[in-house]
Amino acid sequence: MRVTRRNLIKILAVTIGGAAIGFTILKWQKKVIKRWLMPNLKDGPTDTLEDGILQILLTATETIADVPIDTLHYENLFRWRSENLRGYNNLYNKFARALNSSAKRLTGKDFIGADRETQLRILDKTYQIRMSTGKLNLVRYGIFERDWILFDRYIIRDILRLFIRTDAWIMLGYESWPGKVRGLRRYRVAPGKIKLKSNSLGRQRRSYYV
Amino acid sequence: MSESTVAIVGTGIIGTTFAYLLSKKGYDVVIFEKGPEYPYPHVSQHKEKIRYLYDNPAYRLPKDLKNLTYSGIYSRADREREMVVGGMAIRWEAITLRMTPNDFRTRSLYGYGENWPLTYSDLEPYYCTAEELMGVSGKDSDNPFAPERSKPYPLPSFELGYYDKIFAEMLREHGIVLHTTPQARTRVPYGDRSACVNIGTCFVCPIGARYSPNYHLQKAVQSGLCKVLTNVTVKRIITDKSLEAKTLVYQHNDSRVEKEHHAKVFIVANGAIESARLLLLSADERNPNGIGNESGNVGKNLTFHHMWGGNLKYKEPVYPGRFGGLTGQSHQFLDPPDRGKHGGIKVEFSSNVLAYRRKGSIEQRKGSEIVEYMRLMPHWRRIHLTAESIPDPKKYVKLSDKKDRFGDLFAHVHYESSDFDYESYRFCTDIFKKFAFATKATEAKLGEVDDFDSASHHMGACCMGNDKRKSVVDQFSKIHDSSNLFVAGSGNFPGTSGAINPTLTAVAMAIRIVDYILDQLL
Repeated sequence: MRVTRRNLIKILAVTIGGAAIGFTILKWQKKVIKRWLMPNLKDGPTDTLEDGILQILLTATETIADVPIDTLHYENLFRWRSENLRGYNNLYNKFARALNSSAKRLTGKDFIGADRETQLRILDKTYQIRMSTGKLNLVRYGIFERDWILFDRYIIRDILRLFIRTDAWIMLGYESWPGKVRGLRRYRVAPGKIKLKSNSLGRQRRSYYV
Repeated sequence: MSESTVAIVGTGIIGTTFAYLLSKKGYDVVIFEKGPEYPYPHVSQHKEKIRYLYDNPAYRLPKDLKNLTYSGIYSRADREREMVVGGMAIRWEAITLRMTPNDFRTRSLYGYGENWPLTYSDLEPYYCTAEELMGVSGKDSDNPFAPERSKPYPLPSFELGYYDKIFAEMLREHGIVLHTTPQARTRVPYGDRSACVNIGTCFVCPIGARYSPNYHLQKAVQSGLCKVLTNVTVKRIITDKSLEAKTLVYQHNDSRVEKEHHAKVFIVANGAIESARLLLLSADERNPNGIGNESGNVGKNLTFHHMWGGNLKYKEPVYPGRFGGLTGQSHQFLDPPDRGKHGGIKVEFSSNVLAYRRKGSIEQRKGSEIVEYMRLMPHWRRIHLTAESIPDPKKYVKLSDKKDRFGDLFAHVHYESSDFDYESYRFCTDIFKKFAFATKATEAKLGEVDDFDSASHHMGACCMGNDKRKSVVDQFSKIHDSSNLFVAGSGNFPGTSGAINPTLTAVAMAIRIVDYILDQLL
């Protein structure tokens, strides 16, 4: 084809127009892809948390905490979310199944029966997801580990956030944390010591001076 | 069309003060709130936020109802506002301080700002009433800089925390006084309010120890004389040619239908920025620039406090956060020798633990690593230095070009620091260094000059004065030349309230205005 000025303008117009359309599609696709790779909690009915599921959640909590904790406030968190926020009951059930399935594959035992190291190794997947960077990882986890993305976002991060506000304070030397009744005497004297004692479930509970 | 004797816009601490006191006197009141109901006592909110880590969307308005646009250096004003029943005081720190007599006369004494059209003596009896209303715990015996008072505090003070006492001793050796902090928090049971038990999550107090205006609003409603309309937007106020307010036009947030409400007295109390916005949106043939804006002053004189945060590190742990409120403050620098070149400064030790590490905490693998990451948290103490600021042409509110869901323009905030503010920062830096040295901090970091926080203290924008060429309202917060339209709250302040938290002053003024309304209008 002879390259006349008219032909050149036509070529340029097609190229620029095509690039603009392609860019728009790509940008739209990026949003769609990102939304698809970063899943949100699916809708589902609220319901009472089964005891067995709760025990698995609390075991996971103790494993992640890796220090003595009072499990009551985590229990309250899990129960409330299951009974009040749509989607959480299903997610907790799915999480418990995933933990049991992983544990059986590794040790032949369910999650609660597995040793602490195995439990942590299983839960580490959420840590890897939380710390992952780069588009390749985003795609990899988004395609192959969508459920674990949800487990990290809606379960593990909650556990860590609650730990930071509660038991971490005790480990740092405080007698108690904001959210508990602490009275008006203790803050005026030097911090005291804490005693550990077991509750009726055999889990460690703290007593607090008031 | 509905009608009441008094119509109030905004259910924050000022609006609810009016509603409670006027209904107590037997007048029927309707109070309009753009946002939703916010249950009181705040038990469910406390459980949701603190125990269940749940930020309930029911208490947030969408962006097409609650929004601001910005230019300049400060873009946090909208986040600082709460549009629910109770307003910003649902989560305030409850620090209730009186301005000093000199704060009312900065033009005469120091050559900046404007003198208030009332004096400390005019307001003093109302400060006492405001303290009784909210249940303020305090004492002045340890504060040589406190202004004179005619009555003692209604409740005993919260004593200094263990480490604040140690700091107070160290500071005293360097000639600095650290004293207790008056606050609207019940040190002992007060009427039907229980005493504080130091739960520590004061921004959502579940037992009502930290004063919430919802407490008095509830009483007003229980009287049968106060009606609260929630989830409604007041769109404009209509006056007649003598500037007497006749009608308030409002719309339910989910409705397409405008409604009208008549009243004998109208009180706009929905915050400095939003009050200015409402006056501007009320422009019509009689008020082409907006109500009360003949002088062009609506929206001008916007001022924020400039609060800088400093972090001090100590060799030994000092355990911040063991008490939910504040204990140690210093008013020593409120009225410094060089005032005029810069503003007065209030210094306080915060109860907040340093949040800066929490962001990284969530990135740890397990709890023991989080504890290691947070290991130094008990060694850091945060200190706030709050500077007074003054109006400037570069600080104002106007209407935006962005519209809300009803097609009304949002407010636009333009805010820049002035030379006065930069000088105040230099003065703050000196004070901060003194505190760091006196308390033997091993590290000390102060925020950058433009990285200040307004402390949610939005002032001016509908300022008061005797000269209507320079102000919007008179000393009783009545629009100049209007007989029955009031715009009340810290938006009336001709500048900031010195370096002092504005709420007690705004409530005291509201009580004084009630007396005026009862005397002159009802």
